[in-house]
Amino acid sequence: MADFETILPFANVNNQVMTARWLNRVINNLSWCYQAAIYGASPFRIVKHVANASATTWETAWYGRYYHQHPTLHLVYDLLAGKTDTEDNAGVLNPHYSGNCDNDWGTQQASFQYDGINYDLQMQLSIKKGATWYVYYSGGWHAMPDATPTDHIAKSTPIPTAATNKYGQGIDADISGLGLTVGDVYDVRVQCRNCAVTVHRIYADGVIGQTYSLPASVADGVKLHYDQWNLYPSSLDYLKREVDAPRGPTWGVVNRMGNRGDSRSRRVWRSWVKHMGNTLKWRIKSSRTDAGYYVSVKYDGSTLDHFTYGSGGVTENTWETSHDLTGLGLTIGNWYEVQVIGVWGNDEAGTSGSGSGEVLMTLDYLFEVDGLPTVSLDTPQAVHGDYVRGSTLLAGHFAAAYMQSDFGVVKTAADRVIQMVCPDVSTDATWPGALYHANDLSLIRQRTMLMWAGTGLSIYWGDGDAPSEQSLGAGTTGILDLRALTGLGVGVRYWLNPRAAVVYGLEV
Amino acid sequence: MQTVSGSLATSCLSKTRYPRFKVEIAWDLANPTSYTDESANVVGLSGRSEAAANNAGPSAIGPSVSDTVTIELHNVAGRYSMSRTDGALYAYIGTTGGKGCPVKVSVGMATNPGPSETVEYVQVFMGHLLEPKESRVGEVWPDRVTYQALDLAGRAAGKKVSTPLYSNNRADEYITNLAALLSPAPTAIICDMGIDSYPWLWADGETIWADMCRVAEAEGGWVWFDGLGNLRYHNYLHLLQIASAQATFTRLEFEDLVPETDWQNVWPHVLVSYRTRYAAGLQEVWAASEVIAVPPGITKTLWAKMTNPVLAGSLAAPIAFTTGAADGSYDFKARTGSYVDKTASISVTVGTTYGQRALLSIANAHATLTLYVDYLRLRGCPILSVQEDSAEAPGPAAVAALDDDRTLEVNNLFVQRQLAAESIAWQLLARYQLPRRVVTLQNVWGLPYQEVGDLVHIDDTGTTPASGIHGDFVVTAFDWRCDRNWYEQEITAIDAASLVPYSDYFWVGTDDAHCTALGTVGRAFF
Repeated sequence: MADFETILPFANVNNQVMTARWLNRVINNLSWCYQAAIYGASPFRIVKHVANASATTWETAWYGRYYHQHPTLHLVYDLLAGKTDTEDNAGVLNPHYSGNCDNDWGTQQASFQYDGINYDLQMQLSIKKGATWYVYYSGGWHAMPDATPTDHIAKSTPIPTAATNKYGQGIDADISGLGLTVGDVYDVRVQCRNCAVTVHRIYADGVIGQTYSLPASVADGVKLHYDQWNLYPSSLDYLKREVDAPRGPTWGVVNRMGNRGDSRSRRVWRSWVKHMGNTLKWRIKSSRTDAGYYVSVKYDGSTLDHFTYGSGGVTENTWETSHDLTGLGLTIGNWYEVQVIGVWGNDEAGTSGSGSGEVLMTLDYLFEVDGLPTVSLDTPQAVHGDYVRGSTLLAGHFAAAYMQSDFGVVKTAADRVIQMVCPDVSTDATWPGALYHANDLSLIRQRTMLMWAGTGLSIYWGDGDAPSEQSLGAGTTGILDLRALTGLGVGVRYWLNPRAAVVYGLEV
Repeated sequence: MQTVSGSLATSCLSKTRYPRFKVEIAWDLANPTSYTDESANVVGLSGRSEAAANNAGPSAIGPSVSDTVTIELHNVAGRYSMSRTDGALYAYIGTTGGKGCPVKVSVGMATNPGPSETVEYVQVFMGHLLEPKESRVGEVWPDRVTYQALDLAGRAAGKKVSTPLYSNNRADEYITNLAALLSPAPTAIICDMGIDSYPWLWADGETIWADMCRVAEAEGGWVWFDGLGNLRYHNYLHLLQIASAQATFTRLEFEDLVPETDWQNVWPHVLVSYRTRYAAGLQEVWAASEVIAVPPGITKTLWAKMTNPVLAGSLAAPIAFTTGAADGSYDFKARTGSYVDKTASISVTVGTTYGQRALLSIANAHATLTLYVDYLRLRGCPILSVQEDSAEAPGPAAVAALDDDRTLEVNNLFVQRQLAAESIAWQLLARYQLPRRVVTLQNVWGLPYQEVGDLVHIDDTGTTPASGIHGDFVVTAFDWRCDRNWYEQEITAIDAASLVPYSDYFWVGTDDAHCTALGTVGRAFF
C-alpha cells in the first residue's frame, strides 16, 4: 500500500486546475487511514496493587509513558477494600495468595484503615511535565506540591464498610490545557493509598490542535472554493493524526506460575484489548517439555484455543499461533478481556493429570491484527477527463458525494483508535515488591518509526531462534527507521532487549 | 505576449509604421543600473527567442533556453575597443571588453516621424553582453564591434548553487526559492501555480537554470525570462488561460509559409522513471575518506558532501571519542603522528548546512602537535529512495502503429511519486502521440510584443497559391531583425490542436466566478 502522501492544498489564487492525482491522493490517503484505523491494537495488561504501608503513604501502582498528541487521557480502574470477593477483586486478605500467580501483587494488609465512619480509599492519576507532577482532581490538573500531597487527592472514595468495593471507576482527563508539546513523551503514573487498585487500562484518544470538517454541501451545482476543497486534505491530516496514535508493545510476563487443581489461580496473564482486528496472534512458551500441562487463551470469557504438550503431535514448548475472532460476535471498538490460563494438568480445571507441580509460562506477545473493514470505501479512482460531479453518482465519473460518505466511514473507524499508554518496565524495582517481571517488549510492526528509550538496547526480529539483531546505540533515546531493517516488514513481530532496560517503545 | 498600450498595438499593426529601436548598455559594472543609450552607434540588431527543443525534455512549448540578441556597433573613435586607451569607454572595457555588462533592447514605433517624432517602445530584451568580436580595421565599413548577449537565463545557467532541502514545494515555490540566489535579481517573478507538489527538492552544485528547468519540466511546464527581465513560469495548462489567439497572420502579414510535419517528435509510447523517497531515521550520512591532518592551533574547514540529502536540522553534533567508548558511539577520533589518542584536543563543529552538504570546522587546540583525524563521520536523517520504477503510457493501437518502437524516456530527479509519474507520462503522450504540423512564417510583419508561447491564428487559405493552413498555432521560436525603419520576424509555430486534450477542465479559485460548479461540466486534469 502506498504511503500517506502530502497533498498540495489549493492556494488563495485563481486558475488552479483540479487534477485526478489530487483527488486520487485524497482517496488513497483515506484508504491508508482506514487500514491504519482497523489494523488492530496491543492489549493493556491489567495490574493490581495493594497498598501495604500506612494509610497516608502513596504507592505507585502503575508507571508508563505517554506520547502527546491527544486531548484526553483515560483511566479505568477499580478501588478495592473488600476482604472477600473473587480473587480478581479482593482488596485485602486474598485467601488464595500463594506466590506467583497473576492476581498476587505485593504484601497484603490485614485491613485498611477505618476512621470510625468510613474507609477512605484513595487513588490519583498524575502526569509529569518538566520536573513537576500534575495530579488530576476536581476535573482539572494541579501541580503537586510535594511527594505526599495530602491536599491533592485525585480520587477519594469513602466507603462505609470493608466489604465494599468500587468497581468500574473511570477518569476522562482533559490534558489539552497542560501545555504539553505534541510529539514529546511524558511520564504517567497511578498511585494509591489505603486501598488496592486494579488498573484496567490507561489510554488516550482524539486529536489535539486540529479540526475535522468537510464541505457542507457537495450537490451538483455547488461551487466549492479553494478553501472548501482544502477541507479534505486538512481533515485527512486530522484522521492521520488519529490513526497515528503510537502503537505500543505487548507487556508480557516471564516465568509466571500456573497451578494445578487447587484453589489457587491458574491465570498467568490478564489484559484488556480494544477490539479492532479480526485475528489474535500470540506466542507463549512453557518451562516444561514433558506431558502434563495445559495452556489456553480466553477472549471475553470464551476459550479460543488451548495447547497441550504431546497432543495433536505437538512436541514443542512454544505455542505460536493465531486465531480468527470473527465468529465470536464481537463489536468493533468495544473493550474485551483477554486472559492466558496455565495449568499443570490436562484441562483448564487442572483436575486431571498426574501429580502436582507447577509450570512457568512466558507470554511473549499477544496482538490483535489484520482488521477487515466493516463498511467498504466506494470512491472510484479519478482518471483524466472525468467530470467532477457532486451528488450525481455515475460510474466513470468522479463524485464528491462518494468521497464525502467515505470520509464518514473512515472517521468512525479512526475515532476508535487510541494510544495505549506504554508501561515503563525499567522502573521494575520501584514498583511494589519488585514483583513485576517485564518481558521483552514485543511489537508487531505497523508503522515506520520506532521511538525508543532505554539503555544498551537492541532490536531483534525474524526467527525466534536465530533472530536478526541491531544495536540501538549508546544513547538513551532515539528514533529508529524500521524500513531500513531488512526482513522487518509490516506485520512482522520484533522485540526489544534487554527487557529490564526498556523505558518505552512506541511505533509512530 | 507582452501587454502594451492600445496605441502601440495600433501602430505595430499599421501598414504605414515607423519602427525604431533603442539599445542601452550599463558599461560601469560598479553601477550596473546606469545605462548609456548606444542606439546612435548601432548598425545592426537582431535576436532569437526559442523554446527548448521538443525532444530535449518534457518542456516542449515554451522557452527554457536563453533569448539572444546580436548587436553590431559602429566603433566610432575606438569607443568599443579594448586596446584603444583613448576610447571613450576604455576605463570600463579595457580589461573585460564589456563582457558581462547589462544590456536592454527596446523596439518601438514612431508617430510623426521626423525630428519631432515621438516613439513608444516595448522592451524586448534584458540580459548581459558576451565577449565582443571586433572587426579588423578597414575590413568593413564602418569599423564595428559585434556583441552577442544572453538574457538573464544565461546568468542563471552559469551559477551553481546548493540549497536547503525543501519539502512539499510546488514548482513555482521552488523556482522562487532558486531565484533568490540570482544576481542580479529578476525584475519580478511571475508564475503560474504549480500543478503538483514535490516531496523533496534541493540543489547540490547544480546551476540555478538547470534546476529551474528540471522542476518546470517535471510537470510539463516551462520557465523563462521575458524581455523586461521578469522570471516567468508557465504550467502545462497555461495555454488554456489564453482566451483567444493573440495575433492573426495572413499573407498580408507574412511573405511566405513553409509547412512541415514534425515526425521527429512523434512518440507513441512514453516511459517516465521515478524514485519514491522517504525520510529515514538517524544514521551515518557521511564519513571522511582520508585522514585529515590539522596543524596545532589551526582550524580546518571542509565540505562534507553527503550521498543523500538530509532533513533540515537533523545533523547530530559530532561526538568525540573517549577512552573505552564502544565503536559506533562516537563520531570522530584523532591521534598524534605516533598514534597516541588526542581526540580531546580536537573539536568538530557543523556550520553552514545545505540539503546535501555541510561545512565542517575541525579545530586543533593542541599547542604544539599536528593531529590526525583518522575517523570522522556525520549522522543525520537522510532522504533515501527505493528502487527506481517507471510509469508507462502506451498509446492506443492506432497511434502505436505509427512507430511502436519509439519510446520517449523521461528521467527527471524531481518526479518522485507514482501518481506524478503516471500523470506526466499521459500528459506527454497526449502531446506527442500524433504527428503535429509545424509552420515557418517568413518575412513577417514583426510584432515587438510577441513572445514564444503565444497563441496565434494563421490563415493561409484565402490566397493563391495557398498551403491550406488554417488554425491556431503556438509560437515556438522566432528570429527578428531590426533596422532604422524596418522590423521583421521569422516565426516557427506548432499546431495548437490537441496540445491539451480537453478545454473544459475543472477550475478551482477563490470565488464563484473562478470555480467550476460540481456537475456535468469541468473535467479532472491528469
